[in-house]
Amino acid sequence: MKNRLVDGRFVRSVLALLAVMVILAFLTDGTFNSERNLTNLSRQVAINGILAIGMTFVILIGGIDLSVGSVVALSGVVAGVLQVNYGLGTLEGSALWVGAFVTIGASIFTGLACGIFNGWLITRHRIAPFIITLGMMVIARGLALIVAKGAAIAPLSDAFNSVGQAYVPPLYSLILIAVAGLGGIALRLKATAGTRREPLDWLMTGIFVVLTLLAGWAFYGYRGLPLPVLIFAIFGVIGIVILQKTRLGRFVLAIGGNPDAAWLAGVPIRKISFGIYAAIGALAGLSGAILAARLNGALPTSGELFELDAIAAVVIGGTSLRGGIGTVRGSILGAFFIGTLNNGMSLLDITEFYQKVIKGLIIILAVWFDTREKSFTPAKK
Amino acid sequence: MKPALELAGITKDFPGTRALDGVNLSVRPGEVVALLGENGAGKSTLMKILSGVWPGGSFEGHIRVDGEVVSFADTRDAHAAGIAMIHQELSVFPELSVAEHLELDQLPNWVDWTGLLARMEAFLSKIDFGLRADARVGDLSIGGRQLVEIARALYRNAKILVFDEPTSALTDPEVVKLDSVIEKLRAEGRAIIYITHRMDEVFRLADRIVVLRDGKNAGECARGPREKVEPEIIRWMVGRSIEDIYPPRNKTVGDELLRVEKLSLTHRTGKFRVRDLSFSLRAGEVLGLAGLLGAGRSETFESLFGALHPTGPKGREFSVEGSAWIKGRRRLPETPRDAIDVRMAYVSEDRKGTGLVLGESIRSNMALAALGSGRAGIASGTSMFRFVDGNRELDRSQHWARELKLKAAHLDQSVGELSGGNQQKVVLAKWLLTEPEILFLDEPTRGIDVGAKMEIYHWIQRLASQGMGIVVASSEMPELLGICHRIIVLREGSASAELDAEHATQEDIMKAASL
Repeated sequence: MKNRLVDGRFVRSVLALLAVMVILAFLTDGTFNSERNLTNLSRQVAINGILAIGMTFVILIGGIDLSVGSVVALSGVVAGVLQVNYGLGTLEGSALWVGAFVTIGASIFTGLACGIFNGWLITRHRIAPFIITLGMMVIARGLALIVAKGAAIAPLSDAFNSVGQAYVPPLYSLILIAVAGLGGIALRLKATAGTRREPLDWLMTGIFVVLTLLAGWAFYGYRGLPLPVLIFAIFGVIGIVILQKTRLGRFVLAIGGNPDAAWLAGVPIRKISFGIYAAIGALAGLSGAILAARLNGALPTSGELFELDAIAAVVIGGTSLRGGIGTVRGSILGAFFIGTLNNGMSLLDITEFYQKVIKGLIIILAVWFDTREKSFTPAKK
Repeated sequence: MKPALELAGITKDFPGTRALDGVNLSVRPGEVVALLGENGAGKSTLMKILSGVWPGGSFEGHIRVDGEVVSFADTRDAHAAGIAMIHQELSVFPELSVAEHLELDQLPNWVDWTGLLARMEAFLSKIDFGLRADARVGDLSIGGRQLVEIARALYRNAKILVFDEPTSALTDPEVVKLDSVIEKLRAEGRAIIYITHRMDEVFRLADRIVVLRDGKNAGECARGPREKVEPEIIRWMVGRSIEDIYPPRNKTVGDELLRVEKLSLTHRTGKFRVRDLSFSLRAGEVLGLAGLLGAGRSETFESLFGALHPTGPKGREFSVEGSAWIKGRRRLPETPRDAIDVRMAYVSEDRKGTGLVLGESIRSNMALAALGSGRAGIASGTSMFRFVDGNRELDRSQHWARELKLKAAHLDQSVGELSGGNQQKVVLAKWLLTEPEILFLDEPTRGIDVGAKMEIYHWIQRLASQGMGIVVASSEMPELLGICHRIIVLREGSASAELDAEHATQEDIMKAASL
């Protein structure tokens, strides 16, 4: 019986990421691996990570969503308008917190509405997702500019900003990470119980322990676990569980692998596809709120190229652009890979123009290595 | 006469297995040699050697063309030596014209259209396939595309043509056309190797029959009377003698399971695909659906199974009318989900297209249909967010893999790596996992070898004896006559006859199908 939990490619990719991190630590004389920088890095990754989780499902069913970047901007602007123009940011006492939650809810709802519109046109009217979401990308950007009247909206309330800036206090962070880490190890051991544990299996468990310790150390040593990272982690776990464990996950893989066969086997293709486009819209809406909160202001021009970063993270994570094959954990790794590159290059004082070129090249290289490797494994008969 | 082509002592090793072991094959000019063998017998490997896919030096043995030993470094060398493969799955460019296809390898950078068309028109009228040089290949039928491939081989003046299951996707009139083309090629003195699973083609076309088994020559004979030669061929193919391919019919037929009344399927252009079809099916009964290609066999299944609902991949192309009673309750399933809920199962005709998710594992494929229905205990309820019980899933798929004698390394193997017969078993297992009472089988033995066919026949009778009602659609009339109780013959979407399979003959079916 082959052990499905052992995935050599994934282990190698994690090791590659760790190697890049070690190299950066040396190149920056320890600035990169400071508690503060690692905490910032994780917070920078959070938004792309959340989008990449949704994008994984979209790509797995053989679709694409190009509109997420613009939807992030639009829902951020909606948050800004509610906070500033409608006074939700200037309430007193606990009402301020209610206002903050209402604002976040409105952002999510804005994203959801965009996602529903995408999903409706794609599934009901069978127009290529590339076209619909390309249209939505332009529409949402335009709406963001209209609503914001082309300018930044600031400042936002501290209560609202906490969704992007707050930390779980260090001690609680440590407890949370310890519980998550031990729970993860226990689940792994339980899942592999009864099978022969291969060296790769132990290696993966070892890597998991190292990463958990690293996270615990960095967050405890600085100011704790950033709230966006916590949100990212929660959605990460939900995404992984849905894809690996649930009926929905199986159906998603089947739809991407062969929609005709999935349909005949009773899979409600249209319902699932619609739901996934709606869900990624909602995730983009939430990301818009987090981004605005982090910046303490809503920019109609924010979120530029976020869709491409999310797609790149998914593809670097080993998900096939043709659908049907891929994992959420791979996409999370891909998001960290891109985040580490961005962060490292900034620390190394590489100017933004060069950063773009280098990032593009590295994305191409990563995927190229991956496909080259796949082509060596025995192909279908 | 000197052979046009001779393969002598071909031995080819792959890591861990010997695919071919000293295989000999020769074809004379003007001869049609049928090459038979079960899947995995080595036919494809042999043809890959012949066409230069496996270059000279990667195998032992000799290839002689017109008596001269040749060695191919790649497929172009094989072309140059006058060898052409007519593939089962045609690689054509839908946007190009027939003329461009014929000169595909030699198209200049700047195409002189008038000159090209004139030259090709002249060539095409000479070979007289009924092809037009300026036709867009994408507009041609499958049969038309195949003719383009053959024309291309002739344009290159190929002396040796290899047909790899050429009729698997053709309609009956196209098969007739292909037969006449092959006759013509034979008369011109070209050497033809014809790979097929269909016995009637062998006895219609072949001068000589060569059978491979397990990478070796298993037997060879000239065409003789079918009833004498066929059992011999089958014995060579499966390695044991077969008294009767078809197991005895199930004897215990029970109550009515399914009654269909005035079922009609209309395309949105207003054209009927199925028209006013009524029939009934009883528990334990095997009902056959016969008819020419396009008579509405698959469409009948699709209509009854809800496969054409507007939320499906085919969209709003079709509308279904009519009524059905399932165990006395009036219900015509709207979607496959409904159909599975009323315990219908549908093994579709096109395994790779609509039966399997090829990139996924055997066990995911087996579990897929049962998963949605909440049956077989793989996931409870019908909520999308319910967890899949991996142990239960493994247990159930192992059960059916064992029962159906599936040949696979392990159940996490990708189904794309399996042979046709084993893929068909995975599809069958997928549907049996849903615990059906009514089973639709569309061309259940297409493209699979004799051994696997017999196992499928055995299972059909076994499931019937357990009280399942089974409808089998097939274009192989002996198959229907061998396994069914009754046969309904379809013509242009309507039933043109209902026959008692035990006493009917192929002629009866043909008459009703084509009147």
